[in-house]
Amino acid sequence: MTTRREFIQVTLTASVGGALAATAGEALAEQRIQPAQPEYAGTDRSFPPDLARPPRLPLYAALFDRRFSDSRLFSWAAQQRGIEIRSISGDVTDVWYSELHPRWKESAVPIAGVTTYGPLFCLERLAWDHGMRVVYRGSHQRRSDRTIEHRLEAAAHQPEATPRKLSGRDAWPVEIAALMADISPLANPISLNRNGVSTITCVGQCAPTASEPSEALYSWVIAPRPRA
Amino acid sequence: MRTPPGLRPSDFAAAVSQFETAIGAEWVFTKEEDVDLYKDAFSPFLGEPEERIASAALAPDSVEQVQQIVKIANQYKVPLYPISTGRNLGYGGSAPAYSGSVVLDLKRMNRILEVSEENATALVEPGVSYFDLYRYISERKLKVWIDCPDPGWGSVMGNALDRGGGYTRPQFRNHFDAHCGMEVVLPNGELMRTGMGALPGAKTWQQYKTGFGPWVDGMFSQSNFGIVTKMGFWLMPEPEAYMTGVVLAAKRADLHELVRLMTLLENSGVTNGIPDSSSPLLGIVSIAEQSRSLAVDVPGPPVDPELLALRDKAEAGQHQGLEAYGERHGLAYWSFTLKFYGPAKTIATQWEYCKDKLSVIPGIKFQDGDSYRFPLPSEAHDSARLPEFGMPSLNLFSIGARSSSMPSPWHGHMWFSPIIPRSAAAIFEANEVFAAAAREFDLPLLRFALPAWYWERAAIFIFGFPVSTDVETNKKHRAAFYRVIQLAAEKGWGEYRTGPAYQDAVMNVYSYNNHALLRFHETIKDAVDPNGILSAGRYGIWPKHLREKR
Repeated sequence: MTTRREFIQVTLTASVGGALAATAGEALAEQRIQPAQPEYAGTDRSFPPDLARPPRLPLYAALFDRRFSDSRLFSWAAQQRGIEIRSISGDVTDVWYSELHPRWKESAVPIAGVTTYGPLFCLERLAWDHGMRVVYRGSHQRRSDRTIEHRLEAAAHQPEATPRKLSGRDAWPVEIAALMADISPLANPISLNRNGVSTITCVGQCAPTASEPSEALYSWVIAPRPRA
Repeated sequence: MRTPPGLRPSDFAAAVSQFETAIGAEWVFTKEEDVDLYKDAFSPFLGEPEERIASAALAPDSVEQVQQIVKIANQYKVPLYPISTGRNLGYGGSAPAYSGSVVLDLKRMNRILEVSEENATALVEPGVSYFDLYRYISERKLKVWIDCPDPGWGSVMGNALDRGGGYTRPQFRNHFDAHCGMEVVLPNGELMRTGMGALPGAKTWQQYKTGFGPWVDGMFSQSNFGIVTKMGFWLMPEPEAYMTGVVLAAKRADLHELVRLMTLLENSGVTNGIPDSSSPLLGIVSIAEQSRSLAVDVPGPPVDPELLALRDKAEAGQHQGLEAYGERHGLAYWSFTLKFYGPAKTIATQWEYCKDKLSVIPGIKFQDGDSYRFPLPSEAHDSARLPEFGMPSLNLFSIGARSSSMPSPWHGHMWFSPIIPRSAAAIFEANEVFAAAAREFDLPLLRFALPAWYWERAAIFIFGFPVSTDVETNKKHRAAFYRVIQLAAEKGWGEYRTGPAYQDAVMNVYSYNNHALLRFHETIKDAVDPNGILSAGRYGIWPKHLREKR
């Protein structure tokens, strides 16, 4: 039992950061010009050969959390595929208010992201109101032994080669961007009861990031439900 | 397709067919994958047979469609559970109180029918969110503010009907008190307007609350006597300025005068923002400090081990060494932030008056706090607590995720929210009672808790009970929740609101004169909803045919 303020206070110990920005125009401009940092130097393997291939699902934008190098690397990989990126710092209010809410009112468009859990939880529920569902979700939890545990879920069968690709050092966000690029526009949503969900769990290597928050990252794709 | 309890599948299929005719087949949801979205994300019965689930969901677009649905529901005795947007996480979400009910999802009724800058009023439908209303006002550059909860993603009407609270001036942050006029579809399908709305052609529906005769609006909040389809609200005129002043007191016993005087100043209208409180010595941060922590990537300074040891030894926030430590290190026992909205010169004078009144407390210190003019400058958005300026936020969702330091975060939470007197004596006593309960049920022990000050004449504790994915853990936490409801009631403290899992238990302690209040509710329920189709069990009010089986 803890108070509402203590609940928030306690969880803050694991999560500092999250700039609340500003009026719509300023926030949007800031999100759009935020440069993704391609911190891929030093990775010990090559990138996917089809690094620039556009995604099958016409993603409207990819969200990344600028506090995390892994998330920044994802944004770089998304950009290589021609996907527009949007930057957040923990809090999704501005992207939601300035862009997604008005855009989704016009029509449902798919989005992807590598963020912490909160933005995914929030956007998933807001997306339901626009006929959209999560079609892919992965969690990526760094561990103290410089490894990272990946757990990927999708309604469709996932490629058997995925664990091998994710096990390489550093570049897992690039592989996740490649995986997202392969998601079909006809992909079924992940049902809440997880019936028929294909799950892959594997452990990869990761570089130390001492100055970053220690929250787990989540990769995700939210898309309109395919018409029956 | 699931079938509501008590109905034959053939009757429900016939009802569904008529619902489809009334509102369009695409807005009638019967597939499990769609209906499951209405589960409570934070259900304390997660994975147990008692988990509340819907059998279907309907999403009408108009009052006329709602009326048709109600008439069909009466014909087939289909239990309905209306929701506005169902985002009241921690208080039940969109799941029905009576499992198997058909959720009546009013999100598509999201029209902002009027916002008057002159009268500072609004008239909205159930699906209008705080973000919707804020956007409407901002785009038109109207000089009025909304008052929103935090997070502000839910329905303006839904939060008011659940009697939620916000963060601006007292008459606005009590969201039900801030309403003015309703339109209600009654359980027989008839349409009624309250207050001045009962007068055809009335020009003052959103300006004068009570109309003529008994004022019945309260019957439609935390209840199941009708479906509110329109609701008026009073908005806050944008003030010229805002400022805060911080009051620092050194002794534990100073809390008595501090709370008494703060309440007097608020009830006198001298302060008019929501007070914030903290304890630097006990390590209790204010709500504003939490917001700032979210906004900057800088962890707080390490805490002196000596102070940590003193805090660990303290009971109910008391240890003989704490005050001496505070004196040596210039650390206050209590820090209260008073807030002011109004003309800049006026509120500066009000702050000076507060200092004069509070100076009776020996050793009290004062610090000038934040000061803003409006519109709020963009550079202030990072540090200001936006809901205090009528701006909705999703910022709270940016915390609480899994991390190496929190490998098993809560799946969700249930709020336990007892109302207590606005006095230091009550705060100290409540801490003793709830700390004992936490020990009894092996819950994370409270060091000390300060209440929130949403309401002008009462204080409120809002305790989060964890919801887990583990059934046994949830059983334990539910048992603890039931126990603290009882413990609070024995002290004369009752909850202001709770989720369906606990509504019977809370209603049961409002038992004066052999449950006269509940029996009155039931008399009304039987009269206005003889078929018991609306929100069975909501806030402990069951229709006759279900009541007798319980």
